[in-house]
Amino acid sequence: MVKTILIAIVIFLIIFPVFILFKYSISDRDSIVTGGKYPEPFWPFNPNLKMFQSLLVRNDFLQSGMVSLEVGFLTVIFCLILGVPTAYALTRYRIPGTGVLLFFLLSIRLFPDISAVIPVAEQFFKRPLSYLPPVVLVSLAHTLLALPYAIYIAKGVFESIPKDLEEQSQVLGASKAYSFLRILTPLALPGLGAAAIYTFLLSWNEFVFAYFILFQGTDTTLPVYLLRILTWSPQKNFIAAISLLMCIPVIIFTFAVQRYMRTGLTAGAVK
Amino acid sequence: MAEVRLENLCKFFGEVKAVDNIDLTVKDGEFLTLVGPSGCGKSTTLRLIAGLEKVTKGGIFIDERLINDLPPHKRNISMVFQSYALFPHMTVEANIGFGLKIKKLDKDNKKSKVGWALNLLRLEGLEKRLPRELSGGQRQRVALGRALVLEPDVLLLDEPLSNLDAKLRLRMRTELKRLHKKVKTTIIYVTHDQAEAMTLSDRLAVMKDGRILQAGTPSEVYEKPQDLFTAGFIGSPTMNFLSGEIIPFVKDENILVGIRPEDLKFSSAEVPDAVKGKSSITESLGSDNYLYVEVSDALVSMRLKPEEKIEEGKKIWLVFDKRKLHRFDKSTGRRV
Ligand SMILES: Nc1ncnc2c1ncn2[C@@H]1O[C@H](COP(=O)(O)OP(=O)(O)O)[C@@H](O)[C@H]1O
Ligand SMILES: [Mg+2]
Repeated sequence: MVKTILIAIVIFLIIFPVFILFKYSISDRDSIVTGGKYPEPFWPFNPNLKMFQSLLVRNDFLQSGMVSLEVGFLTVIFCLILGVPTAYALTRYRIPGTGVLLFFLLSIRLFPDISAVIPVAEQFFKRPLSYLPPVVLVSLAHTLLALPYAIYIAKGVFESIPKDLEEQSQVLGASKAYSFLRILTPLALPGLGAAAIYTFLLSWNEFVFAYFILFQGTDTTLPVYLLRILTWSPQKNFIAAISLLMCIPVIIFTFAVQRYMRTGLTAGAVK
Repeated sequence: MAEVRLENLCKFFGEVKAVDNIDLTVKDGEFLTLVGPSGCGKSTTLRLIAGLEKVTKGGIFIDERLINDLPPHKRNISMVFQSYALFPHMTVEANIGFGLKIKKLDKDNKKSKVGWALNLLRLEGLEKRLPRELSGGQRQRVALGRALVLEPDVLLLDEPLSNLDAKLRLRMRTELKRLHKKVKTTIIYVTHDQAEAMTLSDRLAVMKDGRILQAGTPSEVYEKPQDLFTAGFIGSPTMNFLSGEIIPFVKDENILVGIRPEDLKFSSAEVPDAVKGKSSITESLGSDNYLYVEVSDALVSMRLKPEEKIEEGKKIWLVFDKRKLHRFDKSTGRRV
């Protein structure tokens, strides 16, 4: 009984904010602007999709969405290119000082973002980095934030794949390259996919660094765009619609990752 | 089909001499076992032969060809790991066919070879299963099949039975023996279990601290152990060791006398050349009963005949089978 109540509370805490967003986003703007009923109705007032329709033809919104996607994908690519070989080397070879290295990797996350951002942004505004397009700069900043996690996740992935499997394939006649492609890659892919999605979401949600680097320019990511909108105090339902659209990739990817995290892919390999 | 020769083979990990100057020849088609306690360098020796470790010093020859610098996939050697290392994302069939696929065998040929392995190892019907859907014994056989289809010059087996329960282990022991008779590949087998080594091998090599102490047929090693360690390691229950001075016909304090439990008899009355002792508990190992006898400050075990019985605490005389006596130099541990 207690358990049921607890579960109900948790579900409520998760669902309720989303419900509020959802409710405002589909409520007719009349309910908020021109003397809607008081007290406000619990259910959406005159539900319709006008807000979404108007958003999806707004150039600045679509533009920001594109920037967010670009930054997200670039961050994923940077993190995988840097993180996967690093993680592989850290698990397969004995390297002195591994522990210290891992600590320093995480250290940037020990500072609040707001204190880390100034020294980082300063480097980005100086030559030579300042020659790079702002989108790339933000991606690099996000890489800085996400890389430690990407390395940690990828390290876990490679640790879960016994070294025996690679050696076994070589003894059975596989070259190193063949063994990498046919044994290591298929086994690591789901886990690395999880790392990629995590990285993407981190970038998608990130605000502080993106704000410092992009606020002056024309391109902005969605979180920064949302702040811009807020500065001209728009209606609640407009913001709600933007927020909801921003949640969609988060929700989709989170479910996708969960599926992979559950399957023990290497079961039955050894012993 | 090939002969393997190790010549002054060494492998050091920093200070640790995992393999220390090994000389050994494994003849074509022979079943040779490396046996020794855990950490004595058995796996490292196999991994050197497989090419998974770099040789520190010495040479590995297959049919008189030096292969030290050949990468693993060019050695035509197969190895079964202690962990089996089945590829978890591949079916039984794909696992067994893995090496054949790399060799780019045509489909029919590959299929018939995989079929041969499935049949040989009684795995028919499991072709489409994934490793996680197999029992321990089945996994072990898939690992064997995967190595055998390649018709390697040499098959290396690293404690392949140690992950199985006792009953299955005994059955697989017989299967392995049958298998070797059938395929006649040169096999180098690693185990820490002396009973396994004794029953399976044509020849065995006893290892300790990275060195080979003695190599020979099971009966040679059992009957003429060349040093104290081998004498105590091979045979179960273990050989008894007594100081030479308390044995009437040895009378030498520099000698340690070894005698196996089955080479002792007892007598209730004093007889010449016997050693006085007091009977202690009797232990039954199923078919055999063993009596423990207190002799000065040592406890000596001896095998009883099925009909023999003796109470605890009786004064008895141990009679040695003098032809089966082993004498070792106390200071060097070598046989004399
Ligand atoms: N990669 C390695 N690095 C350092 N020491 C090792 C390594 N592999 C094995 N050793 C050491 O070499 C010795 C022999 O190991 P191993 O060949 O695995 O023994 P066995 O298989 O007989 O149990 C052990 O002392 C072990 O700790
Ligand atoms: Mg071992």
